[in-house]
Amino acid sequence: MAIIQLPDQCKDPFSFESVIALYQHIINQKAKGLDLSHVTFIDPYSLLCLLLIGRNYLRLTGNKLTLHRIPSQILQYMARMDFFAHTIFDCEETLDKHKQLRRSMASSRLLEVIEIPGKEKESVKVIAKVIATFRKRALVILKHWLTLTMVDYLVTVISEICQNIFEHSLDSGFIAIQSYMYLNERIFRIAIVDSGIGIPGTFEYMPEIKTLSNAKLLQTVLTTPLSSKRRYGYGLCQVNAIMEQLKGSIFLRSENAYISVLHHRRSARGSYIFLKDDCPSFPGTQFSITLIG
Amino acid sequence: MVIEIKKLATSVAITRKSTDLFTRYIGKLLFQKIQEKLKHLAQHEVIIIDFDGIRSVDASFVDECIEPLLELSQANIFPFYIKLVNITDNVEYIIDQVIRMTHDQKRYIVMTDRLCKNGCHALGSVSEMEKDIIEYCVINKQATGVDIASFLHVSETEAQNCLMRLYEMRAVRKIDNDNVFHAI
Repeated sequence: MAIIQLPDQCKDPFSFESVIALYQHIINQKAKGLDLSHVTFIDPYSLLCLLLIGRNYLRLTGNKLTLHRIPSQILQYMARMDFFAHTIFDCEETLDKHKQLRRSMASSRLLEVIEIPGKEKESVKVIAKVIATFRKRALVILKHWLTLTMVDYLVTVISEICQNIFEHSLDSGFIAIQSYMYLNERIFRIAIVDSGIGIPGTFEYMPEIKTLSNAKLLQTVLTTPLSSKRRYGYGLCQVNAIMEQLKGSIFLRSENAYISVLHHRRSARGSYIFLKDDCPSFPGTQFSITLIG
Repeated sequence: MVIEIKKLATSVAITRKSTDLFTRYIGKLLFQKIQEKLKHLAQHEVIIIDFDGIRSVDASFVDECIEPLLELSQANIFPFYIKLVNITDNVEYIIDQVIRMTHDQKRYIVMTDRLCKNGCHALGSVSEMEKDIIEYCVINKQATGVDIASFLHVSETEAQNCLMRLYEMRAVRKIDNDNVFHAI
């Protein structure tokens, strides 16, 4: 029962792959806890994936992981994002009330971690709440990008991805949104994750799709209108088309593969697309939608 | 008949205060409510779906609400027509993308009250010739095969066939058995 040190790799979806590489180790070793002392920055995607690691651990072992030696600014941020409200982790540290980040409108450049239930009716209610809150805060969250039309398109993106959780993943998931400065870049990020059956699992019964590598499959669902449930559903394709219009980027990970589509960096042949198979296995589907300004 | 979609959405608890229509669940609910209203429909009536107060929709909503409505307008015993009004850019874009997808050899076109980004007052899978005919009808309120043939420099048969196709997709009205097609 060891305490596993997390590397300072929680800055974006690519760097968080180093933490996902530890996932099997954490589960197999029945780790007692995670040491976050080296973590200097954590983005919404990494935060949600960390939550999934804790939830999977809890489901598989019946025990909660304990978070140790969390740097105070990270602890403040996690508390502000309602990370601990989901009671998935135990935490060694406590945060004094006067050190808690304020929840004024001026600090609402984020949408706290919200659980998207796995059942349709409950989920629709939560998605409605998420969208209503996002619309209310969009003026602050998207301060540097804001046009009303852009908010409309992002609402469509949020609802499309969140619906996939209850329609396909057979599990519940999480959403978090934030805009922040990192390395002199303004970043707006929507993270939506679940630990369900994943996209390869969803298309398992379609033999023509099943032959593709997982990364190619992710590319197919983003670029080709198809649906595992209905002959004319194609939400992810729509998400990709919208992000192309908004010149944003998509990072989509499922099981042991990921795809990254960079619509803000285009060559003559179109947007840059990176595919990667044989990544460390991590259950479910994880999305990061990003605008860089 | 005017159907104010915002009013219908207000009667559903989840979307009571929402300016957005999303998910299959909401789409199905609103389609049922629209179907209720269609019981009092007259032959050749134009159903105006007013999106005033709605900022965005998603593909699942369109799949479950708008597309079945278009299918119904084509398949119903007596014809009726759909026109979307007060749509935002987002609503235009999503509806266009969704109904543009052909499946089971079906094509859908829906009329709108504005000149859309495709340069036409209709959304969906509209060919260039069909766009020209629709715009001719919008401007002149009505057209015959002869009018279109002379406008587009095509044969009368070709023009008539194209008008009939548009009628079958309920993009133009044909009230009597004569050869006059009316704008929606």
